Amino acid sequence: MAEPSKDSTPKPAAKTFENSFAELEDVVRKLETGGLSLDEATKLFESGMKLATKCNEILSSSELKITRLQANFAEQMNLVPGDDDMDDEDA
Amino acid sequence: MTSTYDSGESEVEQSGQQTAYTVSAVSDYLKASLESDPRLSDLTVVGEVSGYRNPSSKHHYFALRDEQSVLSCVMFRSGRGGQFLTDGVQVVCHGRISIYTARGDLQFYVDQVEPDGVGALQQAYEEMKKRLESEGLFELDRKRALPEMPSRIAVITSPTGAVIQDILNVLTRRYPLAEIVLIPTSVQGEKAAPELVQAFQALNTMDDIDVAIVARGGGSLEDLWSFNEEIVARAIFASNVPVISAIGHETDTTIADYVADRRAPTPSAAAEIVAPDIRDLGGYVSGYTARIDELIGRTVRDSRSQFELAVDRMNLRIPDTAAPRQRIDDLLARARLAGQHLVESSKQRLATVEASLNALGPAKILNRGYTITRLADGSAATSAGQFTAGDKLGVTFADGSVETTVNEVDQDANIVDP
Repeated sequence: MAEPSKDSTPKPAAKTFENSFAELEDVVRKLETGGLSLDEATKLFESGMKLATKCNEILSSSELKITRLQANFAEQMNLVPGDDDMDDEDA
Repeated sequence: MTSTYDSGESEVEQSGQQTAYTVSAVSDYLKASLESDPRLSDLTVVGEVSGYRNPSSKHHYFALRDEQSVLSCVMFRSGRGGQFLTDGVQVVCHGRISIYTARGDLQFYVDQVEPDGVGALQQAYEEMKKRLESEGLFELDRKRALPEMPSRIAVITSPTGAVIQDILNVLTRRYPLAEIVLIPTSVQGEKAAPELVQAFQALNTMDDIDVAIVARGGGSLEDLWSFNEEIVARAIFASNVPVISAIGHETDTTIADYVADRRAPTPSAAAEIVAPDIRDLGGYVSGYTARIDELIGRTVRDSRSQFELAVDRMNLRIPDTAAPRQRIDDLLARARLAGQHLVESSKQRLATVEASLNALGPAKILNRGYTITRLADGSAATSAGQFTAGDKLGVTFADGSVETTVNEVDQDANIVDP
């Protein structure tokens, strides 16, 4: 039996990407709606550019994470790390 | 004639006056009797092929046999499944029973041949498919939409082999943002169906999975059979998350495919369907940045034109400054001119004053009774302190001078108050 590794796994990149992407969409929507002061628009512009940068960073730096459910799932649910070559190498 | 035969076989035994029928009449009668029996005209028979012949006519002649009996068979070239007819092979044949009157042979006229097993499976498959369909397991209404950007993707398949590798390769290339949770199962053989059911049960105990792929590579119908089993169909149906099925090749459609929320033609295709391509996502992001650029440009332009409008409006309210400015300039010019005149006239007045002062002169002062007191050297004395008693002292009058000697010096003398 593998050791239970029920440590709180970090959020997959998809989640952070999805959040930033949704915020970016929101910025575009607000700018499109208009009626903003130049100051408000500038702030939105800045946060939009930051979000886009974050999105691009996530897209370019992410690696597929693979975990494998123990075959004997009938008795206990254990998530164990995948094979070495599939695993993120912690620096 | 019919009535005679209808009376039963006991009458045949009564010889003598009994009517004699022609061979053809009997044959035709037998043929008609057999062909009017609904069971014999839509018949499926399982047996082993023997004496197979396929002469130039392309019709197939053979016999089906089991331990006790033999049934003579023919399949015309229009029949399907002739390739399965090989001596010794167990087959399932469909057709009708009739008589080949030319030879008086009872024959099974086959229109379809299938290898045994496959046929049985096929029949079971069709029956179950109908049943599950009528229960609503395949309803399009209940098919769930797939998540747009899944975070955790469960993959239910064999942990070894090409299928999982194909899926991981595609996702590594297209969508490395997710976590893949592999739920390993057998995908063929007797253990496969119960393991698949367990896998789906396990899936339902995890609350952070967004979507599941159940996959298996290509194989024979028997290989894929687990995915046609009812318990597997029901397990997929009971899944808490949307399920993408990718079983066998595109041409194989299993019950699992009908139940799944989405069917992919191959495991790789399932991996493409389950998530977007990051290149597309990157494209959306650039699209948004371009749009933001455009929008901020517009906002700035709008603000600028609003500002210009405001400036215009203000300009309309400010009085024209050009005329007063010119007046100021005029005044300044005139003031400068006036100043020059003032200087000129002052100079003239000064000259006049000098002239009149000169006109007065020291001589005129002496004439008015003043005198000049001089020291011994002849220079004009200005203070009593320049003298001591006994000093010589000169006094100049307008008309001459006198020489005298100082008797006493009193510096404190006050002229005004004697």
